[in-house]
Amino acid sequence: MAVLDVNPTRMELNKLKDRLLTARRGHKLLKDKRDGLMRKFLETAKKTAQFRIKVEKDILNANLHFEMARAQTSKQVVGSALLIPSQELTVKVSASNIMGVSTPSFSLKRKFNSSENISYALSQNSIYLDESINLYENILSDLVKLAEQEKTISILADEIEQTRRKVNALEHMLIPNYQDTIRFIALKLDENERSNIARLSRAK
Amino acid sequence: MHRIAIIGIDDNIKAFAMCGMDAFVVEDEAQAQKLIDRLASQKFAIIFVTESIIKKIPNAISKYKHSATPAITSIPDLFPKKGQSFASKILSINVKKATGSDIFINDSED
Repeated sequence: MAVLDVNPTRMELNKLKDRLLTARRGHKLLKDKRDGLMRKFLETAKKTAQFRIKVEKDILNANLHFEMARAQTSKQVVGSALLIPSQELTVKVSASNIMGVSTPSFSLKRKFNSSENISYALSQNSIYLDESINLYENILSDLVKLAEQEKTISILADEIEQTRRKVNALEHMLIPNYQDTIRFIALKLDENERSNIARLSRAK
Repeated sequence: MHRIAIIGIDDNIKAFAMCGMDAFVVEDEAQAQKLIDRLASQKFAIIFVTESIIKKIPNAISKYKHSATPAITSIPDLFPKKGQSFASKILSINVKKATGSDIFINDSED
Protein backbone atom coordinates (compact mmCIF):
# COMPACT_ATOMS: atom_id res chain seq x y z
CA MET A 1 0.00 0.00 0.00
CA ALA A 2 1.47 3.25 -1.13
CA VAL A 3 -0.08 6.34 0.37
CA LEU A 4 0.78 9.66 -1.19
CA ASP A 5 2.24 12.35 1.01
CA VAL A 6 -0.86 14.52 1.61
CA ASN A 7 -2.73 16.05 4.52
CA PRO A 8 -5.76 13.96 5.52
CA THR A 9 -8.33 16.70 4.98
CA ARG A 10 -11.72 16.72 3.31
CA MET A 11 -10.48 19.12 0.63
CA GLU A 12 -7.60 16.84 -0.24
CA LEU A 13 -10.01 13.92 -0.38
CA ASN A 14 -12.24 15.67 -2.93
CA LYS A 15 -9.24 16.68 -4.98
CA LEU A 16 -7.95 13.12 -5.06
CA LYS A 17 -11.36 11.74 -6.01
CA ASP A 18 -11.41 14.13 -8.98
CA ARG A 19 -7.94 13.06 -9.98
CA LEU A 20 -8.84 9.39 -9.73
CA LEU A 21 -11.76 9.99 -12.06
CA THR A 22 -9.54 11.76 -14.58
CA ALA A 23 -6.88 9.06 -14.34
CA ARG A 24 -9.47 6.35 -14.98
CA ARG A 25 -10.83 8.18 -18.00
CA GLY A 26 -7.30 8.75 -19.33
CA HIS A 27 -6.47 5.11 -18.79
CA LYS A 28 -9.47 3.98 -20.77
CA LEU A 29 -8.75 6.39 -23.63
CA LEU A 30 -5.07 5.44 -23.82
CA LYS A 31 -5.96 1.78 -23.76
CA ASP A 32 -8.31 2.27 -26.68
CA LYS A 33 -5.62 4.22 -28.51
CA ARG A 34 -3.10 1.46 -27.91
CA ASP A 35 -5.47 -1.19 -29.22
CA GLY A 36 -6.28 0.88 -32.29
CA LEU A 37 -2.64 1.56 -33.04
CA MET A 38 -1.78 -2.10 -32.57
CA ARG A 39 -4.44 -3.21 -35.00
CA LYS A 40 -3.21 -0.76 -37.62
CA PHE A 41 0.41 -1.66 -36.92
CA LEU A 42 -0.04 -5.40 -37.34
CA GLU A 43 -2.01 -4.85 -40.51
CA THR A 44 0.70 -2.64 -42.01
CA ALA A 45 3.58 -4.79 -40.79
CA LYS A 46 2.19 -7.95 -42.32
CA LYS A 47 1.46 -6.20 -45.60
CA THR A 48 4.91 -4.62 -45.73
CA ALA A 49 6.76 -7.86 -45.04
CA GLN A 50 5.14 -9.45 -48.05
CA PHE A 51 5.44 -6.33 -50.15
CA ARG A 52 9.17 -6.08 -49.51
CA ILE A 53 9.75 -9.63 -50.70
CA LYS A 54 8.00 -8.80 -53.96
CA VAL A 55 9.87 -5.51 -54.47
CA GLU A 56 13.24 -7.11 -53.71
CA LYS A 57 12.54 -9.79 -56.28
CA ASP A 58 11.73 -7.11 -58.84
CA ILE A 59 14.92 -5.18 -58.07
CA LEU A 60 17.05 -8.30 -58.37
CA ASN A 61 15.47 -9.08 -61.70
CA ALA A 62 16.22 -5.56 -62.95
CA ASN A 63 19.78 -5.80 -61.60
CA LEU A 64 20.25 -9.03 -63.50
CA HIS A 65 19.23 -7.39 -66.77
CA PHE A 66 21.51 -4.48 -66.00
CA GLU A 67 24.44 -6.80 -65.40
CA MET A 68 23.74 -8.48 -68.73
CA ALA A 69 23.80 -5.11 -70.43
CA ARG A 70 27.13 -4.31 -68.85
CA ALA A 71 28.51 -7.66 -69.90
CA GLN A 72 27.57 -7.09 -73.52
CA THR A 73 28.93 -3.59 -73.91
CA SER A 74 31.72 -1.83 -72.10
CA LYS A 75 31.23 -0.22 -68.72
CA GLN A 76 31.98 3.20 -70.17
CA VAL A 77 29.32 2.91 -72.84
CA VAL A 78 26.68 1.96 -70.29
CA GLY A 79 27.88 4.70 -67.96
CA SER A 80 27.65 7.36 -70.61
CA ALA A 81 24.25 6.12 -71.72
CA LEU A 82 22.91 6.73 -68.25
CA LEU A 83 24.28 10.25 -67.92
CA ILE A 84 21.16 12.05 -69.07
CA PRO A 85 18.06 11.28 -67.04
CA SER A 86 14.94 10.73 -69.06
CA GLN A 87 12.64 12.16 -66.41
CA GLU A 88 12.59 14.12 -63.22
CA LEU A 89 11.19 12.55 -60.11
CA THR A 90 9.81 14.47 -57.17
CA VAL A 91 7.73 13.37 -54.23
CA LYS A 92 4.95 15.24 -52.56
CA VAL A 93 5.01 14.68 -48.82
CA SER A 94 1.75 14.94 -46.94
CA ALA A 95 0.84 13.84 -43.46
CA SER A 96 -1.81 11.26 -42.81
CA ASN A 97 -3.31 10.73 -39.41
CA ILE A 98 -3.54 7.32 -37.73
CA MET A 99 -5.23 7.52 -34.29
CA GLY A 100 -3.72 10.96 -33.71
CA VAL A 101 -0.25 9.95 -34.85
CA SER A 102 0.90 11.74 -37.93
CA THR A 103 2.70 9.59 -40.49
CA PRO A 104 4.07 10.73 -43.83
CA SER A 105 2.54 9.74 -47.10
CA PHE A 106 4.47 10.11 -50.33
CA SER A 107 3.08 10.59 -53.79
CA LEU A 108 5.32 10.35 -56.80
CA LYS A 109 5.40 13.05 -59.48
CA ARG A 110 7.14 12.49 -62.80
CA LYS A 111 8.19 15.05 -65.35
CA PHE A 112 9.43 13.58 -68.60
CA ASN A 113 12.24 15.33 -70.37
CA SER A 114 11.52 13.69 -73.68
CA SER A 115 8.64 11.81 -75.18
CA GLU A 116 10.59 8.56 -75.06
CA ASN A 117 11.60 7.15 -71.73
CA ILE A 118 15.04 6.35 -73.11
CA SER A 119 17.56 9.11 -73.66
CA TYR A 120 20.52 7.29 -75.14
CA ALA A 121 21.50 5.93 -78.51
CA LEU A 122 19.78 2.63 -79.12
CA SER A 123 22.38 1.51 -81.63
CA GLN A 124 25.25 1.49 -79.18
CA ASN A 125 23.61 -0.28 -76.30
CA SER A 126 22.34 -3.75 -75.75
CA ILE A 127 18.68 -4.59 -75.54
CA TYR A 128 19.20 -5.66 -71.95
CA LEU A 129 19.85 -2.07 -70.97
CA ASP A 130 16.50 -1.01 -72.40
CA GLU A 131 14.81 -3.80 -70.54
CA SER A 132 16.54 -3.08 -67.26
CA ILE A 133 15.65 0.62 -67.49
CA ASN A 134 12.05 -0.36 -68.10
CA LEU A 135 12.12 -2.72 -65.13
CA TYR A 136 13.66 -0.09 -62.85
CA GLU A 137 11.08 2.38 -64.10
CA ASN A 138 8.23 0.04 -63.20
CA ILE A 139 9.35 -0.49 -59.62
CA LEU A 140 9.71 3.20 -58.77
CA SER A 141 6.20 3.62 -57.43
CA ASP A 142 6.48 0.37 -55.46
CA LEU A 143 9.74 1.56 -53.93
CA VAL A 144 8.18 4.81 -52.81
CA LYS A 145 5.24 2.92 -51.35
CA LEU A 146 7.63 0.62 -49.52
CA ALA A 147 9.54 3.56 -48.05
CA GLU A 148 6.28 5.08 -46.86
CA GLN A 149 5.09 1.86 -45.23
CA GLU A 150 8.37 1.16 -43.49
CA LYS A 151 8.47 4.69 -42.12
CA THR A 152 4.89 4.32 -40.91
CA ILE A 153 5.78 1.08 -39.15
CA SER A 154 8.71 2.56 -37.29
CA ILE A 155 6.70 5.62 -36.19
CA LEU A 156 3.78 3.46 -35.09
CA ALA A 157 6.06 1.11 -33.15
CA ASP A 158 7.52 4.04 -31.22
CA GLU A 159 4.08 5.44 -30.49
CA ILE A 160 2.72 2.07 -29.34
CA GLU A 161 5.63 1.61 -26.97
CA GLN A 162 5.09 5.06 -25.51
CA THR A 163 1.34 4.57 -25.14
CA ARG A 164 1.83 1.19 -23.51
CA ARG A 165 4.13 2.75 -20.95
CA LYS A 166 1.56 5.41 -20.16
CA VAL A 167 -1.21 2.82 -19.83
CA ASN A 168 0.92 0.69 -17.51
CA ALA A 169 1.96 3.66 -15.40
CA LEU A 170 -1.67 4.65 -14.92
CA GLU A 171 -2.88 1.12 -14.32
CA HIS A 172 -0.20 -0.09 -11.93
CA MET A 173 1.05 3.05 -10.22
CA LEU A 174 -1.14 6.11 -10.35
CA ILE A 175 -4.61 4.65 -9.97
CA PRO A 176 -3.77 2.23 -7.10
CA ASN A 177 -1.91 5.04 -5.30
CA TYR A 178 -4.91 7.33 -5.56
CA GLN A 179 -7.23 4.59 -4.35
CA ASP A 180 -5.02 3.81 -1.35
CA THR A 181 -4.67 7.45 -0.42
CA ILE A 182 -8.40 8.06 -0.69
CA ARG A 183 -9.07 5.08 1.59
CA PHE A 184 -6.42 6.31 4.01
CA ILE A 185 -7.90 9.81 4.21
CA ALA A 186 -11.45 8.48 4.61
CA LEU A 187 -10.34 6.23 7.49
CA LYS A 188 -8.42 9.05 9.11
CA LEU A 189 -11.41 11.40 8.89
CA ASP A 190 -13.71 8.76 10.37
CA GLU A 191 -11.23 8.21 13.17
CA ASN A 192 -11.11 11.94 13.90
CA GLU A 193 -14.91 12.04 13.94
CA ARG A 194 -15.11 9.13 16.40
CA SER A 195 -12.53 10.58 18.75
CA ASN A 196 -14.36 13.89 18.62
CA ILE A 197 -17.65 12.24 19.62
CA ALA A 198 -15.92 10.33 22.42
CA ARG A 199 -14.33 13.51 23.69
CA LEU A 200 -17.63 15.40 23.64
CA SER A 201 -19.59 12.65 25.43
CA ARG A 202 -16.90 12.47 28.12
CA ALA A 203 -17.16 16.25 28.58
CA LYS A 204 -20.92 15.95 29.06
CA MET B 1 8.64 19.45 -53.80
CA HIS B 2 10.95 16.87 -52.30
CA ARG B 3 13.44 14.73 -54.10
CA ILE B 4 14.55 11.11 -53.92
CA ALA B 5 18.16 10.01 -53.43
CA ILE B 6 19.82 6.67 -53.81
CA ILE B 7 23.16 5.73 -52.28
CA GLY B 8 25.17 2.66 -53.22
CA ILE B 9 28.59 1.19 -53.86
CA ASP B 10 28.02 -0.43 -57.24
CA ASP B 11 27.32 1.89 -60.10
CA ASN B 12 24.17 0.00 -61.04
CA ILE B 13 22.36 2.66 -59.03
CA LYS B 14 23.04 4.97 -61.94
CA ALA B 15 20.17 3.20 -63.60
CA PHE B 16 17.95 4.76 -60.95
CA ALA B 17 19.46 8.11 -61.83
CA MET B 18 18.27 7.45 -65.36
CA CYS B 19 14.77 7.14 -63.89
CA GLY B 20 15.06 10.53 -62.21
CA MET B 21 16.47 9.88 -58.75
CA ASP B 22 19.65 11.54 -57.51
CA ALA B 23 22.22 8.77 -57.39
CA PHE B 24 25.39 8.92 -55.28
CA VAL B 25 28.09 6.29 -55.56
CA VAL B 26 30.10 6.15 -52.33
CA GLU B 27 33.26 4.30 -51.46
CA ASP B 28 32.83 3.58 -47.77
CA GLU B 29 30.34 3.92 -44.94
CA ALA B 30 31.90 7.10 -43.48
CA GLN B 31 31.29 8.88 -46.74
CA ALA B 32 27.75 7.51 -46.85
CA GLN B 33 27.06 8.73 -43.33
CA LYS B 34 28.20 12.24 -44.17
CA LEU B 35 26.17 12.16 -47.35
CA ILE B 36 23.00 11.10 -45.51
CA ASP B 37 23.39 13.96 -43.05
CA ARG B 38 23.86 16.40 -45.89
CA LEU B 39 20.88 15.06 -47.85
CA ALA B 40 18.65 15.06 -44.78
CA SER B 41 19.25 18.76 -44.30
CA GLN B 42 18.28 19.36 -47.90
CA LYS B 43 14.93 18.62 -49.47
CA PHE B 44 15.22 14.87 -49.74
CA ALA B 45 12.16 12.98 -48.57
CA ILE B 46 13.30 9.44 -49.36
CA ILE B 47 16.84 8.08 -49.28
CA PHE B 48 17.40 4.58 -50.58
CA VAL B 49 20.59 2.96 -49.36
CA THR B 50 21.94 -0.36 -50.53
CA GLU B 51 22.06 -3.05 -47.93
CA SER B 52 25.82 -3.51 -47.63
CA ILE B 53 26.15 0.15 -46.57
CA ILE B 54 23.07 0.54 -44.43
CA LYS B 55 24.18 -2.40 -42.30
CA LYS B 56 27.28 -0.51 -41.24
CA ILE B 57 25.68 2.80 -40.31
CA PRO B 58 22.86 2.00 -37.85
CA ASN B 59 23.47 5.30 -36.03
CA ALA B 60 22.75 7.40 -39.07
CA ILE B 61 19.50 5.52 -39.55
CA SER B 62 18.28 5.75 -35.98
CA LYS B 63 18.97 9.49 -35.99
CA TYR B 64 16.15 10.05 -38.48
CA LYS B 65 13.84 7.35 -37.15
CA HIS B 66 11.50 9.68 -35.32
CA SER B 67 11.14 12.40 -37.93
CA ALA B 68 8.72 12.07 -40.81
CA THR B 69 11.36 12.79 -43.45
CA PRO B 70 13.76 11.58 -44.67
CA ALA B 71 12.57 8.00 -44.88
CA ILE B 72 15.69 5.89 -45.14
CA THR B 73 14.96 2.57 -46.81
CA SER B 74 17.27 -0.28 -47.67
CA ILE B 75 17.34 -1.85 -51.12
CA PRO B 76 19.18 -5.03 -52.10
CA ASP B 77 22.71 -4.95 -53.46
CA LEU B 78 23.62 -5.82 -57.00
CA PHE B 79 24.72 -9.21 -55.74
CA PRO B 80 22.87 -9.81 -52.48
CA LYS B 81 24.35 -12.05 -49.83
CA LYS B 82 22.43 -14.88 -48.26
CA GLY B 83 20.95 -14.49 -44.81
CA GLN B 84 18.47 -12.26 -43.06
CA SER B 85 18.14 -8.91 -44.76
CA PHE B 86 18.54 -5.64 -42.93
CA ALA B 87 14.95 -4.62 -43.62
CA SER B 88 13.48 -7.76 -42.11
CA LYS B 89 15.71 -7.30 -39.08
CA ILE B 90 14.39 -3.76 -38.64
CA LEU B 91 10.85 -5.03 -39.08
CA SER B 92 11.25 -7.69 -36.41
CA ILE B 93 12.78 -5.13 -34.04
CA ASN B 94 9.79 -2.87 -34.57
CA VAL B 95 7.31 -5.72 -34.13
CA LYS B 96 9.07 -6.72 -30.92
CA LYS B 97 8.95 -3.16 -29.69
CA ALA B 98 5.25 -2.82 -30.42
CA THR B 99 3.91 -6.20 -29.37
CA GLY B 100 6.50 -7.40 -26.88
CA SER B 101 7.44 -10.48 -28.88
CA ASP B 102 8.44 -11.27 -32.42
CA ILE B 103 5.25 -12.72 -33.77
CA PHE B 104 6.30 -12.69 -37.43
CA ILE B 105 9.25 -15.05 -37.09
CA ASN B 106 7.60 -17.81 -39.05
CA ASP B 107 6.36 -15.52 -41.79
CA SER B 108 9.75 -14.06 -42.62
CA GLU B 109 11.36 -17.48 -42.87
CA ASP B 110 8.97 -18.71 -45.53
